[in-house]
Amino acid sequence: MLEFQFESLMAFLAMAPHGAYVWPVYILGLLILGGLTWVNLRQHRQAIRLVKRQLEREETHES
Amino acid sequence: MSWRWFHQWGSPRWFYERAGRWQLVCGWLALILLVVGSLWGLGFAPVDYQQGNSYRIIYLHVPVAFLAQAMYAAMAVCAVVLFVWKMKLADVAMQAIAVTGLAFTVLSLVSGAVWGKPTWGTYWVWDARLTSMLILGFLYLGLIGLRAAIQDPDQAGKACGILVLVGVVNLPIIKYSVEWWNTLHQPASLKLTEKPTMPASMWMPLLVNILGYYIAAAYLVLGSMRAIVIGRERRASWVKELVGRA
Repeated sequence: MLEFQFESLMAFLAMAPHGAYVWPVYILGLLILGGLTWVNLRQHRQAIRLVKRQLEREETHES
Repeated sequence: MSWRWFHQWGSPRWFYERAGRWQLVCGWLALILLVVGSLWGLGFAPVDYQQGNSYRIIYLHVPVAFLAQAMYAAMAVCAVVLFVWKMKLADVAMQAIAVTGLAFTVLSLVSGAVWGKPTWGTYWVWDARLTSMLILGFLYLGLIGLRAAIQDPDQAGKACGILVLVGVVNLPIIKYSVEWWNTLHQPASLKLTEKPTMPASMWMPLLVNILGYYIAAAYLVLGSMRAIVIGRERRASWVKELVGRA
């Protein structure tokens, strides 16, 4: 049932005559999913860093 | 019936500790499903006899368009939970979903526009489906802006909750736009109640990708929620303990 629909890998990449429409959409999808993952990780790291700084300040106050 | 499962969600600590594990599972599952579904749709699904290869955009466009709407509905549920049970985590979820939902709406609009060019001969028409989706995008944008404009998180949560509930009216408009008005946009490709209009070799990869994108959205929302929880609870002793240990 599963049959590769293109004659070659090049034909697949060209996806004639609509490669110029199909591939950019999937690349944008990849960028958006990857971008959101990166933003979340960065936000998480920043929040942790903020708490660390706060803890350090509290420690210097106490000593 | 025990309500413990529900009350647990009132504890940001309980959520934070578990969400990390859920996120890991969702992340890997989504990656596998999306790689399989996308390759299947792009390379192995048959060519459409009318649209040629351009129809392969469906394997991204339909899942993200579904999600753009489903995430708004999820935000509305969170708004109700926030107003009825005053659950802080519901507000955190609203904040996280707004950003992810906007990203999916933009992706849905752009992928639809690009698909429109070879199919309709134009990137954009002011037709009911496209316009109501654009309004959904503005609603998401409005929510993000509103939250940024109000400093107190509790006040911001309430204001956003009201806006979310008002905006729910747009969801049935999007869904039925293709039936109520004459539009260029085709009717639904997949319906729960009817047989698909496509052969199985075309809709099966679509189903895999729909599942994949849903789980990817869960992964992204959980990740964003964890970061927001740490930020909001930074003065709580459990956060200090957690960071101190690390």
